[in-house]
Amino acid sequence: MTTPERDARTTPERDVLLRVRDLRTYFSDHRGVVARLTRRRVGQVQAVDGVSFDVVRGETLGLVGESGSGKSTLARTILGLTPATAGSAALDGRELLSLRGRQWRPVRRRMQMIFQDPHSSLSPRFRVSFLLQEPYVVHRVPAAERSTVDELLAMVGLSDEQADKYPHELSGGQARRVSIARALALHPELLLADEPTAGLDVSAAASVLNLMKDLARRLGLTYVLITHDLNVVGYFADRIAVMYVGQLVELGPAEVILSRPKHPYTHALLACAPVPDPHLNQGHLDNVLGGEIPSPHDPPSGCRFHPRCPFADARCSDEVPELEELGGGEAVACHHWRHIEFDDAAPVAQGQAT
Amino acid sequence: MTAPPVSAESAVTAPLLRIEDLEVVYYTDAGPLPALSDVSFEVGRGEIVGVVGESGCGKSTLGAALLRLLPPNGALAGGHVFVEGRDVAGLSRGELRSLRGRTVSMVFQDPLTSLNPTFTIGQQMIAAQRAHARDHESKSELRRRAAEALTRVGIPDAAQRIDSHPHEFSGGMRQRVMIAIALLHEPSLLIADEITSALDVTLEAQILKLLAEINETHGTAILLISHNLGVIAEICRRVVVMYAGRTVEEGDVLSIFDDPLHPYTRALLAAVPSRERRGALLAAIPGRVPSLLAMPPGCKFADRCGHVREVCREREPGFLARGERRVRCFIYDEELAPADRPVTTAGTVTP
Repeated sequence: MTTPERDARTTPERDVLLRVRDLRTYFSDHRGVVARLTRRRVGQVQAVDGVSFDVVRGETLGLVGESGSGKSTLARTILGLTPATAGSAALDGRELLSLRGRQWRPVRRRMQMIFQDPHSSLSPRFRVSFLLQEPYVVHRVPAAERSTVDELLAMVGLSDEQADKYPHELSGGQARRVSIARALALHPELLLADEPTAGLDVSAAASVLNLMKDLARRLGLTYVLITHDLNVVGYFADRIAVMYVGQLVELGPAEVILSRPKHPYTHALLACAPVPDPHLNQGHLDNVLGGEIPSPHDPPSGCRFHPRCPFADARCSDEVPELEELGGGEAVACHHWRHIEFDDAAPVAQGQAT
Repeated sequence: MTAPPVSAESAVTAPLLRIEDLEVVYYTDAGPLPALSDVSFEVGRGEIVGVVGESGCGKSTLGAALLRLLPPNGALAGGHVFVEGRDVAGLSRGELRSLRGRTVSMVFQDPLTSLNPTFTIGQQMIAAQRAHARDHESKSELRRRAAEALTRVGIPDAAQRIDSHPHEFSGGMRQRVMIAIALLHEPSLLIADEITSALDVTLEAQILKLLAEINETHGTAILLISHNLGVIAEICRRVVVMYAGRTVEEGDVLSIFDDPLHPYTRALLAAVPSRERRGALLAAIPGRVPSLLAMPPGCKFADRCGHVREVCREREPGFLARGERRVRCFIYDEELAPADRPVTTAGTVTP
């Protein structure tokens, strides 16, 4: 694991808004009633296991990985919605993980989350107008500092007619806009957006991405964009962090990660992403990454990707690779990245099916 | 079970699936809703055809209508579905049962709602075979065949895993189980309705690869229904684009993606985010798919179309042939005076 000093050297003069260091979120795993009653500790799920990164003010950091890689848990831990086991996360220099109860309130005004499923994060019993004002009530914001419902709706491109609707009367794209408006109500600096385009049609997804881009420019927002859709991060993110079973395996500027990935997992993800161009798909499926992401309950030894990695050798199953800083803001956790040549005609050999 | 009477000739010469002017209506308290109208296309033997469009455009209704699996308030209001030359609407219950599973099988998006959580995979696969039981096959024979089917779709240790319950499988493996069940009777056509939508890119690619392999080795034709243009581009040879319950464009996959004719197809392709489009705003399609309750009289895409002309709002364009392709747009209607025709952006289409 990298030390804070080492990371700090790569980003000395930049304006770091969020700094995460060696963050760990473990869930204890009491399986079944008997185990629970006897308090026999069966094991731990290491959902986030030693993650370090910075988010610079004004940028979009894309966090990608398969489901089960710990992306959402990481975001929830940063926001204090899931207790951290160890490590540190600081917003503008202020440590978050030691905050308790009411101390969170001023901090949460500065960072908000857009949850994955708007229909389950917007209470079905309240109208849009109430949902948009609720953050002000919770945070006891004085009337003078509040934006009106119409202002918030206008900000996300909805008409004021939507104010009287209930969430179930909204389309997927509209509901997503309402949750964005709700997150913006408190004028946050940092938005953690969890799969903001999941479940949306192509056109609705495009307009939500356009909206997020526009808001970033107008309000100077910083995003952590969590998604499994590489087309979305490719379009949107300035930097990309790739997660696999609770750990970062690669981090760097988007152009570098997308065009010259160093970690075999990143390469495999890119190779799998469906591209709407039938010319690019000749032989594409011959190189699909095999197997499935292992359970964080019992992660593989050494490099967690080794059972699926076509380049793995004995060292990979024994020794945990460190996230190595390569300069230029790049970092990769792989023993062999220097020697791996991805053949783009046959990008990734097939991993063993599990 | 004896095969329903079909003349040998028609079964050989007729396309595997032929849909003609299909119309489906849902009867609701608000009145009859035209979910599909004027849907026509064919699927040949061994072909992979993609059906693409936004939600609410009738993709899933189409899949259900092909096997007469519409909900009770839905009905075939016009047109025909021919499978191997026989009209599905005229089949008896017995014939229909033989059609489903034996000739045409379907896999849905969510395997957990299709699989019974209280039975093992093996029990469900044996039951699926009993529904079409030939003669008196022993249980062990059915079980052996089920295990074979699981192996074929890439489930390791199938002989052991067959005694597991659905919840013991991961999402990707469950979808493989569904495909194995659908393939038990080696159908000629597999309808796959958004089967990778809930999966990660890696598992999605694995499932698409499996479909391509099944198509290759068994010659199974596949009707792949998806909202994802990337998925469609991956394995389909021909593509049908749907909008508001209509087929609006049909053609081979390369020409659909390289030279889309219908303004809707172009708009769909332009809205996909990609690294090449970094820094630019995406071309989202303005407006929404019209509600089935308030369909505009003319072209259903008119309100969102950048090329709209008077004629588009007055009447609906037909599904016009253009060589090997078909498109439902007045731009290509040569019976209209050029001055009345909507104009396409220069350079993209040559008449």
